[in-house]
Amino acid sequence: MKRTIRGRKRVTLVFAALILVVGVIAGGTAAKTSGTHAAKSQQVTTITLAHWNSSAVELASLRKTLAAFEKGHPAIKVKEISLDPYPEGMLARFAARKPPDIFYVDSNPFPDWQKQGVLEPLNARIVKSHFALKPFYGRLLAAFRDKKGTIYGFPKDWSPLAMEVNPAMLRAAGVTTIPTTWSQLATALQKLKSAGQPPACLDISLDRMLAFWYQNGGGFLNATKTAAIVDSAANNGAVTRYFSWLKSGLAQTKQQLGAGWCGEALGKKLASIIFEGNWVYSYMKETFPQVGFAVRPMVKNARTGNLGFTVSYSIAKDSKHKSQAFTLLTYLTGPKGMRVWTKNVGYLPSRKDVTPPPGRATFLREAPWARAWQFAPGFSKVTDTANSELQAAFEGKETVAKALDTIQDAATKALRRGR
Amino acid sequence: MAVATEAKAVSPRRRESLAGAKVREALVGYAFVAIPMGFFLLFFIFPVGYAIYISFFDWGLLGKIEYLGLQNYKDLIHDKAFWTWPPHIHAASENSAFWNTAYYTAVVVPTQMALGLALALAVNAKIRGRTFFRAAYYFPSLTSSAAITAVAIYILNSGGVLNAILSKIEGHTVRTPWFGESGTALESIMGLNVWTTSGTMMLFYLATLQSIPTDVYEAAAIDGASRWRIFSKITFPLLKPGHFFVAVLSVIGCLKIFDQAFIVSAGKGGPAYSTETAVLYLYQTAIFDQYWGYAAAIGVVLFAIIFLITLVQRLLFGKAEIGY
Repeated sequence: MKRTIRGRKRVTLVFAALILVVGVIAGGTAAKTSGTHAAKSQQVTTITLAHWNSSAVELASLRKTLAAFEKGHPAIKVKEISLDPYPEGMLARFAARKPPDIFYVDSNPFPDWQKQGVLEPLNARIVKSHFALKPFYGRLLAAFRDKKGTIYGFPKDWSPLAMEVNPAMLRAAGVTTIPTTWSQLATALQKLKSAGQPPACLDISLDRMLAFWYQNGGGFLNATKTAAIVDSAANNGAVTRYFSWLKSGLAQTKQQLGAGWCGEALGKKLASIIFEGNWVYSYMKETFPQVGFAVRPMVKNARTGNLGFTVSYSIAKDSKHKSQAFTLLTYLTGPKGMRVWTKNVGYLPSRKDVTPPPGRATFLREAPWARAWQFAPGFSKVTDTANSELQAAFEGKETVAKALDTIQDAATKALRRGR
Repeated sequence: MAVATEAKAVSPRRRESLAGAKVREALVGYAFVAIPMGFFLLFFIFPVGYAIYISFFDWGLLGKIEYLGLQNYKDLIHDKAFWTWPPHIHAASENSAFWNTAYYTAVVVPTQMALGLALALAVNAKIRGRTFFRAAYYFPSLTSSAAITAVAIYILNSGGVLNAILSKIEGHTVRTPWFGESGTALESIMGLNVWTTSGTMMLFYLATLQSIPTDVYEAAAIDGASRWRIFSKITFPLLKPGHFFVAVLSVIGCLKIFDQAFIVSAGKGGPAYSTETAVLYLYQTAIFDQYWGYAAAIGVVLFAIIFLITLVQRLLFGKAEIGY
């Protein structure tokens, strides 16, 4: 009998232990919920802002801007979270229906996010708050509108591409006039090569090559974004020309140069000419302060052409603090907040009433012909396909025409599916 | 047995309580097992079942969920990005993740096994400092594959250490971007993986080697068998359980290849589709393109393939048990 009692005791003990564990977990959760209740009962609302940060300067500038906002709005506290990888992190939060209240949206995935209905339309709030849209550059604001004209975010800054050169290398090769056309570029690169100076760095990537397609009179989608126009003779000509510079050794890819991106190649003095955006400034200042460089206009061929990269602040449809988020949104993209932001981070303002940081005039002059880096829903896969096809064509595994055909097919399929 | 004899000797009442004690003991046992089992069901069996379930749907994280029946599987058969017939390896436009994975497996598994066996034989020999060699060969397996890949990106860079060494050997400048060209990217990952995992294979082979009784060798020595004959007629066949285990492990590991390909290509499977593996394609379909149902279907197919291959291997190697 004794044995059985002990056995029973043991069973009871195990179950008691189990109950204890469950109780502790439940208690922990209860404590957490009561904690948030306590925070809510105070007058201060905490909203969450999600972003990525490409550099320490960017993070510090964002914190400075947010601190300036909190100073003027004591009822709103901003909790800032940095996500890496960003789109994946955001999608997980959207799916869990617990997104940050306000966050960065890149112009490229914007069509997807807008279509999925995770972004809050802002029109009613714009009307109510009399927030003026006129000061924004029209093309940048248009990147965050849907076909009906509904606005889902305001651009926080932007950048086109330009030509960054190492003046010392050009001087050493006797290149006295800065190339402005493709043929002048080829001549300059030839001179650099003969003088034993480093080549240009060219990226086999659609987000650089498309600018050259535009310059040759080509493009990716038609004006209404309803049809792909990839397999054109103009595009073929642009790709062939671009590859010819690489194949003749006038230029090299970042992989061939052993750099993570062309900016790194410029900094490490592996490249004499690159085509990158305004982000080169803060990068060079931070990483290669001793290397001299100059920003020159983007080259042109049949016409001028460039890409514009922009990012908005948008509000989540599932946000519980939309009015506070809108207050922050209009501060960050309004004249006051944008002044603090661009002054600190050195990016180009998306508003005409904010003076850009000094020395950025060359970039601003690209604005009239810079087209937004944006396509249609489902195009992240298409740009991946494009990059792979262009690489395959560069390696000589297929013709340029075949590569463009495949990209054309992928784009057409994505457009059909997105409709 | 002792319990049974004891039970016979005692009264029926005592026997009853003993049976009760047994049940209780079993209950206690199950209670202890319940917690890990609960985790296993919740985090392993349930997700597998759920993945099979959603593979029949057009399943987005956001937006509508629509029942498709077998449509995802039908699409997969015709998906050139996943698989093509005839096979395309290193092809330009046909980026078939399946054939990339098959090619990878076909090269890595035999290399890994041969290297693992060779290392095991080496460190099993009675040589000075063999404990050191065992540890040294096993060491790469302990390092995280992500860290190794990150370091390899520098070493295999066009201006990296490997090219510097090759330049010295060949007498002219070599600047191959190993991960940057489609002709060498997957092969570089192969080399990397053979190196990191052969230590583990060595360990398994070593364990099997040491379970071979010494009297077999003594008999062979008495018969005057040559070293090669001893290896080919005794060691190699008696390693059968080791071969089976290592082969299964290696094949499964290869078919699941993801992390190195992901890191090297920043998740894109480039350059020119060369590092696009089946699991990476699954990941891209789910995470980048948000086709969760389709991605689940890829996962189920991959599971079926791995399961089938393991079955075939089991048949080939017999029951993998050996009587001495």
